[in-house]
Formats: sequence, structure tokens, C-alpha cells
Amino acid sequence: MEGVALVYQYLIFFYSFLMTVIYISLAILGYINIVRNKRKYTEKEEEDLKMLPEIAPGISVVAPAFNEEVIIIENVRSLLNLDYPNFEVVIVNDGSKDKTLELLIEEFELIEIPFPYIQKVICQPVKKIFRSKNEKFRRLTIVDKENGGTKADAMNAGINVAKYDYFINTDVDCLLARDTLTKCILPVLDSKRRVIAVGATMRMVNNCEVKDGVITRVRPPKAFIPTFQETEYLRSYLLAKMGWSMFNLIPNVSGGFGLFYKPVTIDAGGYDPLSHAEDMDMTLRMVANMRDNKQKYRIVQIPDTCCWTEGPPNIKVLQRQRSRWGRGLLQIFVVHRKLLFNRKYGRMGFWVMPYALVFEFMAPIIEFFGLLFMIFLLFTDQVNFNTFWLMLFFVYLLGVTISLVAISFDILTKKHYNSYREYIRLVIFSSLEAVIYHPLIVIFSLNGYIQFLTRKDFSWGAMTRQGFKQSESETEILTTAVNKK
Amino acid sequence: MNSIKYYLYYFESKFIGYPFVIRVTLFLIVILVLIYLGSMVRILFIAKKRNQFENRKKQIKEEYETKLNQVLFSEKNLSSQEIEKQLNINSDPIKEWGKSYISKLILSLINQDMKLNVRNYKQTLKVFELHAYWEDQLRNKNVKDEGTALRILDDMSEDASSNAISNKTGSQNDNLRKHAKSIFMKFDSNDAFKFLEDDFDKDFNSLDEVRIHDALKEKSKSRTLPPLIRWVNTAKNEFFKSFLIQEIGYFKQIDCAEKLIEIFKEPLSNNLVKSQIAKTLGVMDYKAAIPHLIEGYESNPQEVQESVIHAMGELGGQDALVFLEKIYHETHNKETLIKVLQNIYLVDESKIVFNKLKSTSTTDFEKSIFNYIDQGFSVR
Repeated sequence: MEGVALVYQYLIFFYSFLMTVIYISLAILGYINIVRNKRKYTEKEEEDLKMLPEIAPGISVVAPAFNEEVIIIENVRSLLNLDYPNFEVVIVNDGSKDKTLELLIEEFELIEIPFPYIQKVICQPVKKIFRSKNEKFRRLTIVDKENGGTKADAMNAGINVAKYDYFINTDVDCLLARDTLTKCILPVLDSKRRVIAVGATMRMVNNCEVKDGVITRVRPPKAFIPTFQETEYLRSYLLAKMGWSMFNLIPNVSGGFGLFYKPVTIDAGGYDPLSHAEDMDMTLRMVANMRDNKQKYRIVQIPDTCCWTEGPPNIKVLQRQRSRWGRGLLQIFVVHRKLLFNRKYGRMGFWVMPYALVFEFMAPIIEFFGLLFMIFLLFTDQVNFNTFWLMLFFVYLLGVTISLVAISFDILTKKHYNSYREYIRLVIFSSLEAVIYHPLIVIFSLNGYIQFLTRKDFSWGAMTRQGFKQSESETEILTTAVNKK
Repeated sequence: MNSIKYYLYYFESKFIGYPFVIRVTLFLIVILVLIYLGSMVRILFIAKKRNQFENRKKQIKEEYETKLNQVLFSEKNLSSQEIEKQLNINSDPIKEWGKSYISKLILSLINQDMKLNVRNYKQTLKVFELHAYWEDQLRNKNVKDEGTALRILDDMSEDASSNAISNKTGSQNDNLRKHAKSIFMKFDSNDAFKFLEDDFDKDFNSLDEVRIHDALKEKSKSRTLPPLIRWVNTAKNEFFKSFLIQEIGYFKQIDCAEKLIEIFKEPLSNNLVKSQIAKTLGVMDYKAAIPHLIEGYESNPQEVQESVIHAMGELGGQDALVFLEKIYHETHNKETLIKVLQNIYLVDESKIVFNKLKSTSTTDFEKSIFNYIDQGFSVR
């Protein structure tokens, strides 16, 4: 028994050692990538592209909506206000039971059109397609379809209707920065290899000021959970993904925001409505498709914040979100097990998938059993407290250091908050993350694994949504319970 | 000193005495603490730099904005002495950072929707010695400074010295080198198009297309461009070749049409190139191409076929209409069917063929295409 305990302790130590080395390496690579990106793509490149509409590639912005009556009008207006010469906005009404469609029809003067619909990827039947009578809204197309129960199904309907080769996958509750499309398309243009997807930084819209669908003042979230999540997102996008991006090793372009190359998405079969992590599933299938066809590809991450989304306002919503992510991650390894250590899938098979398995999927399991083991050692009086405190400090320090590095990268990319004091809030929260937020994430992820293994509670969960509509002086908080079936 | 040495030896012996795992942990802790402190310092440094940037920008704006507006948008042509006087430039040299901010301020002002006095603008650049400053920056070995200098010289247009820029066209940095080549093309008055030889650059991509297109547009404002077919003939990179053919269409170089048809008919030509030729011939409205495009339709892949269908819509005429009607009956591809009908609608002025096909359409899908186009929702 003692031998097993010793081996286990050594394994855990080298696991955290490896994690530290990987994070430090990613931080260095991420930094180089951010600096390189900032040097290559400036306002000048963006302006040049915008001044040449005859050569700027078209982009379809596809956003599914289910029971979004609170925010739909303002957010569609926001999407229509994007600053780019060639784009369209495709909103997919996924069988909403509230007034989402009626509001859209009234606000944007929509009429039903005889659209020759071709089902290139499978989804629930499309009932009607609308366009506006008003030239002002000529870029807008509304797809009304039967509810498919998942975002993936609605996205597929949007892809079937989208007319351009590149499309943005976003949510209707997300706000996009006005220069999003230019920022995302520049790395696509600046590549000899086919860029099949581009990811960008996402952050919390909670507590930001929004006017006419445009964010006028960025603030760190007030609520606890979105504040923790803000730093978590910065770590994920600016440090991890920017680092992985250097070697074309991005495993997942976020479901909240990403630019995709449509022909490859269609060839790969579109989004899988049965997937709980449709974004990672889609990314992996696109990569597999390119590798199967022996084509070279790139997946790019840009450091700019392009998308603002609502963070979970309370623990209940966080639990739903993370349990779903947990289910999704486990499902990925079941569905895409053929990719693991498969030479045919190159870096994806030998680096990305094993990394995700060991350091993302296994992490909550190791942490949970580590805690149980620690309790066992305490009860059997086998703890050397000097070593214990040293190890605890080391693990804690790893978390806060990586968070601070991510915050510094965010400031380097662009100073979003008005004052540096607001960044201190993020620094303070990141120092509390290990004791308050992280244990919750571990529990909810494990809950997701159990749900997947026991085939229980496979619903999408409910998201309590707060609109970000604001009057001139005070925030009008609009709350609705939206059941995402 | 001795006590420092004593403690160093003490800690060293203590460290060596620890088990391996503890030593590794201590080492990592030291690294992490250094990174943590480094990040803190970095944040403070960035904050200081940003504040300095904002203050300087504000200072320059307050000092020069109004005066520059008066000079740049004055209806009267001013001499350099008058500009110096009006801008209140004394004999003290302006600091380097000052020139950088003044350049940016001038560029932001000239982008306003007001009538610029070009002569005064050029004189102002001379008075501040801005070209010389940015050319110096371009000679720096710092990639960041070089990049900024290139962008500013590009925006300043007119008098940018192609000597300074041409030095950068051999840079090891891909981005810098290609950007310099496109700016050289914009401003050089002697051999501006020399980089179109040899496929522009070994690292040619779509962003270069944007830059070259911009340069060609700028160049075409002063003088007709030389026939781009010359470089199509020498190009080896199919993407570059296809881009040049696209530009031939954009600049309506109709004299190149016959040569394009020749390339289109060559069996070994790349599909991307053929597809672009079909589109370009359509854009140039070169009606003599119709029989050649029709002849080549069957033997080419779908990518080329779709471009031929598109070109027919641009070219029009009875032959194109008959061809499109034939394709309508033959195709089994739904997307192609939509494209064929869109183009028939464009070509068929009397709408006789379109209505005949509409009346004989059988499936709901086909009917929806006809209604979609007929009601004006279709955009090619």
C-alpha cells in the first residue's frame, strides 16, 4: 500500500511539473504570437481592406436564436452595424416559442421569400425564409425552422442558407466588436495555406455599457462568477490558444465565436446535433477531413477581443454550463477516439488530443482523487506538513502567475478597461480562484462525466439571460428565463 | 560581503541537501515568482508607456491641430516660410517622438472629408522634415519601427522616396519585404512594376493581392497601366497568375483578351486560372469569347463551368442564352441550376425563355428558384 501511495504521489508531482512547463512554454509562445500579430495587422491593414470592397472576401454571420425576445432586436442591429464591406447576417429562429420571430418581422420589415433552399448539411426542416423590404436591412436573412433542440442543428440551417465561403459562428446573445470581420479575415488572407478556422478572444459583457448594440464602456463584471470567468477566458484565449496557434495546434475554435471555411465545414458533415461540445467536435472533424484529403490547413487564433458574451450569473447556471462542457469533452474522446495517437492525423493525433486527454479531461479526476488521497493521508498521519505547504504554495502560485500573465497579455493587446484599477479586480479575483471558483469547476466537470456515463440529463439546460439594453443614465436589467431544450 | 557569501553557501548546501522533488519544486517556485514579478513590472511599464503616449498625443494635438487645419485646407498656396510662421515652428529641432505624432496627426487630418490643398500638404511635410525622419526609421534594424515607417510612408503618398523603400524589398522579414514591394509599385516612377516579374514574391498570398490591387489602382489614376498579360505569361505561381487575370478584368485591359482565350484553350492550363479567365472575359464584356467558352465548357471541371455560366450572364446575346438553356436542361446540380437561371434571367431581355422554363418547371424547388429570381431577391 505504501508503495502504491508513493508511486501515486510521484505521478501527481510530475503531472503538475509537466503542466507548469507546458503553461510557461505556452505563455512564451503566446507572447511571441501576440507581438507578431500586433506588428503584422494594424489599423492600416484593416482600413486598406475596407477601402477595397471589390477585393474583400464576403463573410456570412450566422447566429441561431431560441426564445431571445429580450435581446434579439438590439443584437441583430448590432450585427448589421459591423464595419465591413461584404457581409450578410443570417439569423436562425430555432422554433422559438416566444415573440422572437414576430419582433424581427415587425422591426426589420420582413417578408417571406421563395428561397430555393438546398440542404447541404442535415438539420430540422426549414419553414420559412425572410428578407427585409427595406433596403437599409438588405444584409439580413431570417431562417425560421423547426426546433432541433441544439445550437448545432440551427447552425446547420444557417450554413445551408449562407451565401459566402467564410462564415462566423456566433450566438445571438453575443455582441461582436464592429471591426470583428476585418480582424478575422486578415490572417485568412495572409496565408498561403488554406485557413479553415479563426478564433478570437471572448469576454464577459456583464456590467459593460451598451448603446445601440455597441459597447461604449468596458468594465470587469460585478458578479463573482463572471469575474472569475473573465480571467479564465483570458487564460484560455490569450495564453493557451495563442500559444498553440504558433504550431497550428488549436484543438477547438469556440462555439461562441469563430470564423470557419464553409466548403470544409460542409465536407465534414456540418455540426453534429448530438454533440455536447459541437464546437470542438466540428473543429476536429474539419481537421480530420483535411488530413483525410491530404490537404494542408491552418487554424488561427487572434488576440483581439471580438466577441462579448454573458457569463453565468449564478452557480446554478455555471453548473449547467460546466456539466455540459464536461459531457461534451468525454463525448469527444468517445466519438473521436480514432484520432488519438493516430499517425494519419499528424499533430492533432499526437499532440492536441493526448494533451486534451491528459491535461483537460483527466485534470478534474486527478484533482478529485488527489483530495481524497490527501484526506486519507491526513487520517493515517502520513503527511509531512513542510512538504505539504510547499507543494500547495507551488500549485497556488502556478494558478495566480498564469492568470497574471494572461491579464498582462490582455493589456498588451488592448487596454479595454478605462482604468488600471479595474484590472486589479481581476488580479484579486485570480488570487481567490483556487479556493472559490476552481473547486466548483472540478465538481461540475465530474458531474458532466457522470451524466455522460449514466446517460442522464442530456438537456441543454436553461440560461437565465440578462439583456444589456441600457437607457441613457441607468441600466435597465431585463431578465428572462430561456429554456434551451 | 562575507556574510552574503556565508548565506549563499548556507542556502546552496541547504538546497543540495533537499530531496530531488523538493529541489525541483523550489526551482519552479523561483521561476514562477520571477514570472509573477516580471508580469507586474510589465503591466506597470505598459501603463507608463500608454500614459506617455496619450500625453504626448494630447500635447501635439493641442499645439498643432488648429494651425495644421488652417494650412492644409487653406485655399491659398503658402510658401514654406509662411507655413513655418503659421505653425509657429522655431529654430529648435522637433524631437523624434514629436515628428512621429505630428505625422499621425497630419494623416488623420487629411482623411477628413474636406478639400486638401496638396501643395500646402507637401510643403508642410517638408517643413517638418517628416519624409527624412520616416526614411531614417526605415533604415532602423527594428522590425517594429520599419513596419510603422512603411505604413506612414505609404499613407503619406506622393513624395515617398522609392530608394528608401527599395532597400526594404530585400528584407528577410516576409511581411516587411512584400509590403515594401507593393509600396514601391505605388510610388516608383521608373521601374514600378519590376516585382511583378518572378511572381511578385515567393511568399505571395491574398493579402499581397489586396496591396498590389491598391497599388495598381493608385498607379492607374495617373497613367494607363501596362498590359498585365505580360506578367501572366511569365508567372509560374498559379495563384499569382489568376490574380493578374482578375486585375486585367478590373482594369478592363481588353487587348489581353485574345491571349487569355489562348490560355483558356490550352489543355494543360490550371483550373483556377481557367476559371478566372472565364470570369475576366465576362467582366470585360468580350463577346468574341462566347464560342470558346462554350466549346471548353464540357471538358472542364465544375469550378470552371460555374465561371463560364457566370461569364455568359455578363456577355449576354442569343448564343449565350441558347447555351444556358441547354445547361439548364442538362444539369443535376441544384446550385448550378440556380446560377444558370440567374444568368438566363439577366441575358433574356424579353423574358420569353425564362417564362417558358418557368411554366414547364415541375418540382417545388425549381418553382421556388423562378419565383426567387422573378421577385428580385436573387443576387448573383
